[in-house]
Amino acid sequence: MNEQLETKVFFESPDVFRTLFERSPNAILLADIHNPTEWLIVQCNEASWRMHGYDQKDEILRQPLTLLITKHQDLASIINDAHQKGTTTRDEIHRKRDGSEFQVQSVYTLVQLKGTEYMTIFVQDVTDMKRVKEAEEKFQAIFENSPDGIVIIVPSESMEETWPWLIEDCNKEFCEMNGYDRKELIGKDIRTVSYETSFDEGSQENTFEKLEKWPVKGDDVLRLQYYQKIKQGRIRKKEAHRRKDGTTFIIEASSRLVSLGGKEYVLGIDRDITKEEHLRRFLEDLQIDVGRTFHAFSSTLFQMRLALTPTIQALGPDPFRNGFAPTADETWQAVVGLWNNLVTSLKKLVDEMKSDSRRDLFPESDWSTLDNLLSLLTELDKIDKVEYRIPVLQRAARQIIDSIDKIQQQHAIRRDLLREVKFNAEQLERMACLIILKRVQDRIIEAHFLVRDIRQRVLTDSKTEEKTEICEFWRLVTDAQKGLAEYATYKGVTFKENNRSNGARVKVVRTHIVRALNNLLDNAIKYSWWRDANVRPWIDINCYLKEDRVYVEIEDYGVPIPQSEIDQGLIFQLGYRGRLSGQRDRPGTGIGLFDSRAMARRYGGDLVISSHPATPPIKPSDKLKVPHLKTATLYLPISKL
Amino acid sequence: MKQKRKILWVEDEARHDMVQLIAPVIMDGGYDIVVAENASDGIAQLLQYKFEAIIVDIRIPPGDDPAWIDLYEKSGKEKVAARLGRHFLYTILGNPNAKINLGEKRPKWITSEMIGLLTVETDPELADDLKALVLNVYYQKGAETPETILLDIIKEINDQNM
Repeated sequence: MNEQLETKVFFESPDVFRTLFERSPNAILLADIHNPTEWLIVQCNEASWRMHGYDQKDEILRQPLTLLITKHQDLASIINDAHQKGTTTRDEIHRKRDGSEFQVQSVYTLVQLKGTEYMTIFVQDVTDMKRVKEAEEKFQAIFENSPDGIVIIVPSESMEETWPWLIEDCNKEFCEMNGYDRKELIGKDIRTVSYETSFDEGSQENTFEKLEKWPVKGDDVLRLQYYQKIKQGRIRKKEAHRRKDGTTFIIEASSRLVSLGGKEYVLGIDRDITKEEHLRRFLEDLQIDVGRTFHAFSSTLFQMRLALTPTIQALGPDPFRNGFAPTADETWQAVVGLWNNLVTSLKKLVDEMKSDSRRDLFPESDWSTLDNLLSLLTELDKIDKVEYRIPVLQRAARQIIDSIDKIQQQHAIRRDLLREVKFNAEQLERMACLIILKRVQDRIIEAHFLVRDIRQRVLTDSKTEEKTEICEFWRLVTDAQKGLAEYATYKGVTFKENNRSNGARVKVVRTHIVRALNNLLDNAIKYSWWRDANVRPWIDINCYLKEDRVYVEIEDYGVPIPQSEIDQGLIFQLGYRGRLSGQRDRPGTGIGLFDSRAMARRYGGDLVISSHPATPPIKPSDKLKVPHLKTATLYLPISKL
Repeated sequence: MKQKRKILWVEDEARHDMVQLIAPVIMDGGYDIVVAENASDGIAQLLQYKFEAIIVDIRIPPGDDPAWIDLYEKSGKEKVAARLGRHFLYTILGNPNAKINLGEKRPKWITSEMIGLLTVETDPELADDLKALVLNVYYQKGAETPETILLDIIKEINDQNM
């Protein structure tokens, strides 16, 4: 039956139709619709089976039409529509032999062949058309809803006539940005809103100055140059714009030539960057101020340091090692003898004054001060924090000296005893001042290196492009060492290096890792103790490879870190200072370890801290009183490149 | 013998840069000063003892209490940015703005009148907090700050409560 029908259709078709049928790029199918719910394909052209991914015609002939259509159409309604209108058009999804789907537009037409009704189906693959249409819709949506101002400009047709460049269209944002209605801008010269500035990408020209000069004339030459440049590709530039109300603002404009409907346009995308520019300018000014302040601060610190050195020398023998402020325990060892001497002599004096038969000759105020100070000094060791005792001793000694000077002038009593008390008070005051100044000196040195470091970051590093590069790891370690050489020398600390990294390289921003290592070395210098009275403190730096990582261990001998602080991660908190770090009287910011770990993790590595007693404590409870070996281990993955 | 008045100073630099300020208080002889170097220690002290004056710094570290560590991390992970001293004040005064609430444990004897601030923050930076907490005793640390500032604050608080 079907074979007969196929033959009839062909024999009865005119040649023209047959040629069209055979060569059409669109699929043409003929379906037997006598069963309205299941049409059979009885004829088709080559485009039909090729479009659906079949190798030959026979593979789809005599198959139900639903073989090719993904969504089963309501075939009966198609027949109805075709009866009423002659043809009916449907957007459909068709299916290829491999299961993939594509969009088509199908036109259904009823035909009568030898008294029997058939359906012809013209199928056009509209995937590309659909994409174009969707792209157009997307562009339109972007054009209308973009947070950036978009403008389409007709460049001057003649190169001789550089102006005007007329606005063909612009979006809502462009209008709002410039303070106009769309109809006020379309057809107007772009110079209505735009003021030409340098079009060099990355130009540092000061847009603010340009704004102040608005409007200027004679920028035709610039326009010509601009046109020539835009023909080479996209241009990004900062530009001054003027609103309808006369106020000005700064935009970042990205422009390029586009072809729309065969005509050439300049497409401009503008973003208002006035706030950013103001901020940038503010930061630039601030940077200058900060530089100036740092310079003044560095000079002041230097002067203070120069002044302190002879002052400390003038205070007499310095029982403390150069470069380190004394620990709390050391300060107490230095003053305890002097304190005892003063208490003993003062007690003798006060007892004598109390028992003196001439006591009535002395006003109460003259000796009650000494009596009160004696009470205070006698109970000084009840102040639990040794750090608090030194300023108390200094002030008490000064008050005793002042009181004795007053008594000496007014009363002729036991001058030898008064002299002894005064001498002891002067010795104690001298030592207390020496301790205080040593702390201040240490603080100044710390501040000096801190200021130098921040100055470097603010004035130099911030202007340097952060570029990832492949660096030799050991080179980064030595660079960090060099940066701290002066500080280490001042502190009398040396480095002992052991490099077994075999030239391993890492991929990092150089300054980041140098800074991370710098922090660790700075900590190690700051918290180092003398291991031996005759050997200067040192820091071990061991660099080695393990699997696909390179490690550096920085080990110092000094301040313990309680295991609880390590376990809880407290030491990595920004601003956290070790509970015992103050025992060395080292001022710290608590930034170092946080910063170093963040840097190591940024490049796929990490930082691990460990601390254990260097010598076994006599009692377990003294564990945190003995020096510890603290190891900071930073590792990074080795770059294979 | 006259009973000494108990004072709490919440200041992490008390044993370092600020150590000179303690001497006048000790030498006065009328005060027993206790130092807390972080927020956790400060709260612990307040829960254990009764004080007659509390002097607080604004830039203090959290200490080891997880609640304070958590707040610290949420507030910028940095002593300067976190300004935990403000939160500390809201907590000990039981203010509705408190992020950490002590509930029934909060010592009821703590009042705004017994609190003083000694900090590097400027007046405008703290204006809202001072107003919300009804704090009147506020001094700024600076190069011109007298060595007796801590004692002066304590005396001012005493005068305020007389």
